[in-house]
Parts: sequence; C-alpha cells; structure tokens
Amino acid sequence: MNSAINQLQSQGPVLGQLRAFSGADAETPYLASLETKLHRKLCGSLEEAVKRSRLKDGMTISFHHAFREGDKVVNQVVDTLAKLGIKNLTLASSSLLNCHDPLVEHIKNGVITQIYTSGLRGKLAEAVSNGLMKQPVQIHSHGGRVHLLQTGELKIDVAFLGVACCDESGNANGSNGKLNCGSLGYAKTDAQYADQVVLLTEELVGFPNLPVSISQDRVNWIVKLDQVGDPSLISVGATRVTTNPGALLIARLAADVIEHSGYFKDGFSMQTGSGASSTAATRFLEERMTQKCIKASFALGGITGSIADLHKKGLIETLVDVQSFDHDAAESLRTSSRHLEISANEYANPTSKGAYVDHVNVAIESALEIDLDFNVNVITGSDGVMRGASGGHCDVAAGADLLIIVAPLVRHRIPIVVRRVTTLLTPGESVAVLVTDQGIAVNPKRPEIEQRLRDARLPVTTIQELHERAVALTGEPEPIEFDERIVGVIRYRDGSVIDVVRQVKN
Amino acid sequence: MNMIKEAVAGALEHSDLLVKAAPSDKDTLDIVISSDVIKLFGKQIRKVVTDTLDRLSVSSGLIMIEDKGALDFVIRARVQAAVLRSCESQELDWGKLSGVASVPAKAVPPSPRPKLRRSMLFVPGSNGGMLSTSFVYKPDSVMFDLEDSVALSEKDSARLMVYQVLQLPAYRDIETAVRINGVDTEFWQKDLEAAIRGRADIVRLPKTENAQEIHELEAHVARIEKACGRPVGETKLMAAIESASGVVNAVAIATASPRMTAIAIAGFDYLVDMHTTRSDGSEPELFYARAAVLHAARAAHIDAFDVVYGNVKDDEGFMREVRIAKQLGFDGKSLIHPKQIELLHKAYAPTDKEVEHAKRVLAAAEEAHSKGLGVVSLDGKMIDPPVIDEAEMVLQLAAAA
Repeated sequence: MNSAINQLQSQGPVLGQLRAFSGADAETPYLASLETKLHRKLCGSLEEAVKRSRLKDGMTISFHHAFREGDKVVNQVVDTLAKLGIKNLTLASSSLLNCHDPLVEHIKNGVITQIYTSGLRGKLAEAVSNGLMKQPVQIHSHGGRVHLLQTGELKIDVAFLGVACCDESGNANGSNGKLNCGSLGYAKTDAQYADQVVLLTEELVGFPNLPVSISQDRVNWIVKLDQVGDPSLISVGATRVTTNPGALLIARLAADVIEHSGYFKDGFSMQTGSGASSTAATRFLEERMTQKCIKASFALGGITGSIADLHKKGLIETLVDVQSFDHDAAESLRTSSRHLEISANEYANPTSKGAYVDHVNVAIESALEIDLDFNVNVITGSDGVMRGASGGHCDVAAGADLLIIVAPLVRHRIPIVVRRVTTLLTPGESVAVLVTDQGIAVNPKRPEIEQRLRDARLPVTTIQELHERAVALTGEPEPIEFDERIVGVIRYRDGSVIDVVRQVKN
Repeated sequence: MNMIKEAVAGALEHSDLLVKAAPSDKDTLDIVISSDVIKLFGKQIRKVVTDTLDRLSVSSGLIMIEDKGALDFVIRARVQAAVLRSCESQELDWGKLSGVASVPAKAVPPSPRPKLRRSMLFVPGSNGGMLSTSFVYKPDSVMFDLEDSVALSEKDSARLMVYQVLQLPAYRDIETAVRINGVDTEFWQKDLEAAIRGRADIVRLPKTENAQEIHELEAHVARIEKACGRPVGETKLMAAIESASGVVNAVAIATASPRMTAIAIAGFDYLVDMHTTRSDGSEPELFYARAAVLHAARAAHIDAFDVVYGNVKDDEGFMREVRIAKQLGFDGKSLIHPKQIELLHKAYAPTDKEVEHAKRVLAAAEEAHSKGLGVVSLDGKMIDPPVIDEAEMVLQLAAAA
C-alpha cells in the first residue's frame, strides 16, 4: 500500500495526510476489548476523572446551574481540584447561587483566580464586591456566554456537568431520575464547546438512554457519585401563586398591559420570569385568554409550573425551554411532545443563526432598579453589593417585541425608580413598559403603546412622575460610595462592556 | 422630657424599626443607628430621629435604632413611643408634635355628587408595613385601626403611628377614618386626640350601643377640634353596630348628630351577642341586623356598610356576600384585605345596559333643561329627580370601576 500512496503523491496534489491501513483497531484500540469498548468512560472517582481529563493549572472549568440551589457539583469538583493542588483556574459557570459560598475559600487559596458567570449571590457575591479577587468577575448574559465561547474569549478546557441520569456512553438528560431538573439547556452548550466533558450522575441507566439532551458523541468521562444534587432543592413544588396583595396588583396590571398592548392576538408568543408578580401575571393572563379565546403559539423560558399548566390546558401550544424552574415544568418536559428542550445558543445567543428570544411578542421581567431612561439594573443591590444575575434579561429585552418590567415602586424604603441605575445591565432602548403598584410608565420611544394603554384607561403616567412619587415617600437617597477598583465587568450580550461594578467603600 | 427607665417600641419587621430608649448618666444624647438602608438613608434617618427628640425636649439619653427600611413617619412614631414609655408621665403634650396647622385640608371633591364609599379598608395601626403601603390599593376609604387589631400593650405606639400616617401626603386623596377604642375603655379619648389632630376625615366608634354614646363622643370631638384649631364640625362620625342593643337603637344612633356620616354592621361580635355564628350566606342570621342598619342609614340619609368577610382565601364566598349586600342596598363593605377592593369594585360596577340607560336619562334631563321644561320624560315615562340622581351615581360608579 505504501507504494500506491507514493504513486498518488507523485500523481498530483494530495488531499490531507495519507497513510496506509494498519489494522481495524489501529486508531480505536478501545474496540479491542469489550471492557474498554463499552465502559472506558467510567471513572471510579472524581479524582480519576480529573486526572484523565488532564486538567492543569491555569485552565478553564465550566458548570451549569440547572440544579439551582440543590447543586452539589461545583463545590465537590472544586474541593477535589484543590486537594489535587491545581491552581489558577478560571471558573465559568452559567450562574452561581447561594450554595456556592464555599468558593470563597478556594479563591482565597488561589485555586480559582478568574470567574465568568451570569450572576453571583450570597457570601461569594459579598466577598467579591468587597475586593476578594484580583481579576474582576466577568458578568455575561445567557446568550452572551455562548457568544464568548464562539469568539474564543471563553475557552472551556473541562466541563463538569451534573445530569439526572446517563448511560455508560454518556447519553444524558435532566428528565429522568431523582434529580429531575428538566431542561439541560445550559449544559448542552458546554458539552458542545468544551474540550473535555465530564458527566456527574447519581444514576447510571441502560443503553441507549433517552431522551438525549447531551449526546455520547460529546462526552469523555463519566463519574457516578453518591450525591450530585439535592432533590428537595432542585425539584421544588410549582411556585404557588402569591397572596401578597402588592405582587397581585402588579401582576394584574401587567396582564392588563399585555391585553391592551396590541400584541394580544391568537397565536401570540410570550415569556415570563419566575418572580412572584410574573407567576401571578400568568394566572391573570389565563383568565383573559380563556375569555377572549386566544391561544399562544409558544412560551419561551425559564419555564414555570404555571406556564406548564397553561400548556396542559391547551392555552399555549408549544413550550420552548432552556431551564425548567420547578418540578411541574420538568414533568411537562418529560411528558409533553410539544415541550422542546433548547440550548443556550438556540435560546439567546445574538450571533447564533437563530435565537428564540427574537420570536417573542411579549415578555415580563423584573428589576432591582430602573432609571429615568428605562435602563435596568438586575445585579447590584441598594448597598452596591452584587446579589443578582444578568441571566437572560438583556437577551429577552433585545429580542422581544414588547418588554414589560414589573416591580413595586418602593421596596422597604428602597426606591426602584431612580435617577440613574447603580449598574447598567439592560439598556433602556430595549425596555418598553414599566408596571409598578403605583402606576405604569411607557418608554417615549413607543408612543403607540402608550396610546393604547391610555385608551384602555390604565393608570399610565410618566417615569419622572413615578420617580417623584417614590422620592416623596422615601426621601432622596444618598449616592452609594465606591472605591476606584473594578471588581466586576458587565458584558452586554454582544461581548461589549456596558458597565463596571466597583468595590464598595466601607 | 426626662427619661427615667429603659423602654422599647416598634418591631424588627420590614418597613418598621425597633427603638430602645434609655436614660444616660452623662449629659449627652447618643444616637446609635443600624439600618438595612444605612447607605441610602443613614443621614436622613439620623435627622428625623434628632428632630423628633428635639421636639420632645429630650437632651440626654441613649437611643438605639435598628431599622428595617421604615419610612420617616414610622421612625417618628416609634421614637416618640419609646421616649414616652421611658418617661415618668405617660401623658403626651400634643402641642409638642406637629399640629393641625401643618396638615392641609383634604381637597374638596370637585362635584357635588355624594362621595363613593364602596370599600373601606381596615389597616392595623400597629403595622408599619401596611400603613406604608395601603394607599396603593386605592380603596374609597381607609380605616386606621386602634381597636381590636392592636394589642393592649401597643395601644400607645399605634396611636402615634396613626397620628403620623394621617399626615402622609400619599393618603391625601383617600378618605381617612380612625377606629378608636370603645367608650368603655381607658384609651378612647387619647385616640381622639390623635385622630382629630391628625385630621382624619371620620372617627369610627366601635360597639355603639345607643345615641348617648354618640353625644358623648361628639362633645369630646368638638372640644379637641377647638383646642387644636381645626374647624369645629369638620370631623365626621361613623358608628359600628356590634350588638343587639345597637341594632334596636340603630335609628337613634344614625340620627344622633349632624356629624354622623355612615353606619356599619360588624358581624362577628353581633353574632356572639345573638348566641349564634356565621353561616356561609345560606342562612338568615344577619338578615334583621342588616335590614335594621340599612333602614336607619336611609332614614338618616347616611351611608351603610356591610360586615367584614373574614375568609380571605375564599373569593367566591366573598362575592356571594357582596351580591347580597349590594342587592339589599348597602353602599359599601368593610374590607380586611386589599385584594377584596378590586373584587368589590367590580361587583358594584354597573352593567353596560345600566350605563346606557343612565346616559339616556341624563340626556333627557339635559334636553328638558335646555328647553326650559319643568318635567323630564323618557320613553313616554316621567323621570323624577331621584331617578336623575341615581343615573348620575351609576355613571360615577362606572367611571370609578
């Protein structure tokens, strides 16, 4: 054969590197034994998986947050890496929650020196805001994270992905098993872009495991652990509709706004957040949909149990799901043939070939602050400390036809409408309507919306008037003081820097 | 004022604060403040506390504040309460707090039509959070309570809270009522001081048994109005009927004073007095009381309020009761949860047919007036003045729904 190859090479330009056949299993030695053919990915321990992934100092590791506060992956993995003496890692998690407080120690010890995330909470957020890290944290949106992966700024060396169940080849999903978390939308993206993919599971099941959210062709290693997540914190019951009268008032007004927005027609599409007002708004919307015989073509999310309920009732034809917020939503994904699991790229990446956020008519989101230009802050609290998440906020805002922000005008003396947001996450040009318990304000860029709402006799006023009302109640707040040092960089979905978070002054 | 012992007022709850006041052996006044919103409002909170202490002539002592995002009016009230509790004499010199002069009169309603009184929302006077937000729900009237929803140990503090909240600009466009404690208690006259000086529109007397109680109440109201410079006669009165005696004396009570503006039936205590309990609306245990109170109201040309519906979770049950009350002719209902307001207003909203008819009646009246005719007719029938008034009310209700 070598002579034939030589002949080919002398015949003309040859495509690629040709070499002679040298045995059926030359490039796939694992096919030689049954053990390696089918079981080679299984690791006896997390340490073994780490070694086999060849994770080194200075590399980037990634996680997803579909297990919410029940996640046990991040802490176990980073503990293991610390024990193995690995350092200077970049941690890229689609989000970080209160249960990730133990990371503070690892940061102090130099195990983690850089973080990419869509949000921070708890003691970790407090510590970072007070200057824990040398490198500022990169805060991105869900769509923006994928964009960073595509441009190469974020390069995942090893992804550690917790899954509800998988087979020995790595076909995995979040739907079946004790850790039923629903959509693995964020994990799917990491599995696609990471060099090495390690799956962590409590349940190994028979081959082939369906449905396939993460496919075997992207999985390197599998570890079966006793505890990958806490089901009581992952699989929470569907959020009950709040009885808080303030949240109900806002929810009803939000449903009124949607009803009279001009978008409330048969076949419309929607997205709501998971907050109390958003969940309640779904119920009020249901009444109006039933009354007017209007069905939604699809709902995008962040899918909640109340949205899943409307789907079950036939009021929403299709659910498009990047994250299932509760047990009912997860069950719907598992059982409904028109409940679609999508990746973060399909969900919100501005440079994907098609993002679902672009198809949403009306969306409801919340805010920590909104200013006179309708700019929104969802990340820094009233004391300047980071305690929230960018999440899909600016993605949905950019893509949706009508974005409605819901919030009480004043929250325990903190005015929500401010002169200028402490941190800018979602630009005002993407925000159409603000609904508070003391009135509605419409972005002057949408005069037709304002006219429709006024015609419907909704309590429409200006955002300036709402601000004055807030300040009349609370008094004028003093500006929060910061040091010079930057501790967080807020990346807009296209990767550009839209704002920074500075260290709080003490 | 001289503080002689340690005292505490307020609560560690959202929109409230805990104030500890104690005498100091030094000659200084030390104020220690911790707050959820210290960065945003630390200076402002200190200013309010200092001003309040100043007005009370407190020049030495230790004041410790743990604030959970309370608005200024709550801070004032709790500091006043703590200081008073720490003093020898528990008597409050009302002149040392802001007086009526600083509270502008309510805007006179632009039209001569009677005020809508569909919803009267009860708000416990001791609850900082509710006092700070109830105006958001836009009830026709708000009733700040000093009676049954306030614990005995908190009567003094709640009184100061209500005095302060009455002056909050956010309540300027809502009719305000204060439910004082009954005339058989040690609290009611002090409650009156707070209510009248705070410029409440209405004083609600609970457990009204007879006309004599109204006369006694009226005399004290006039006395306090004069003392604080409020126009005598401005404060209106409302009686709650909560017993068999009250029911049989309803007409006398309703007509006892020109200040009487409304009469309410309070179901719970009345039924206890009657040796029975509430049914789900299927039995007539409230029938006579409702009828008696309504007739008294109509004879006296004042408004009538139906009972509180206590089961906040049961919207269907609430609406059933509202329909009964509306059909009987009640002007409104006492409410204990903001979500009941919207439900009630919807139930009182006229139907499209009723609105159309009302418009036609008013058009006919307008036409007759422009032609100089003395008699108004529509569809061949004569329209009496009461019918025209009713048509105006229908349109007002429709506009407000």
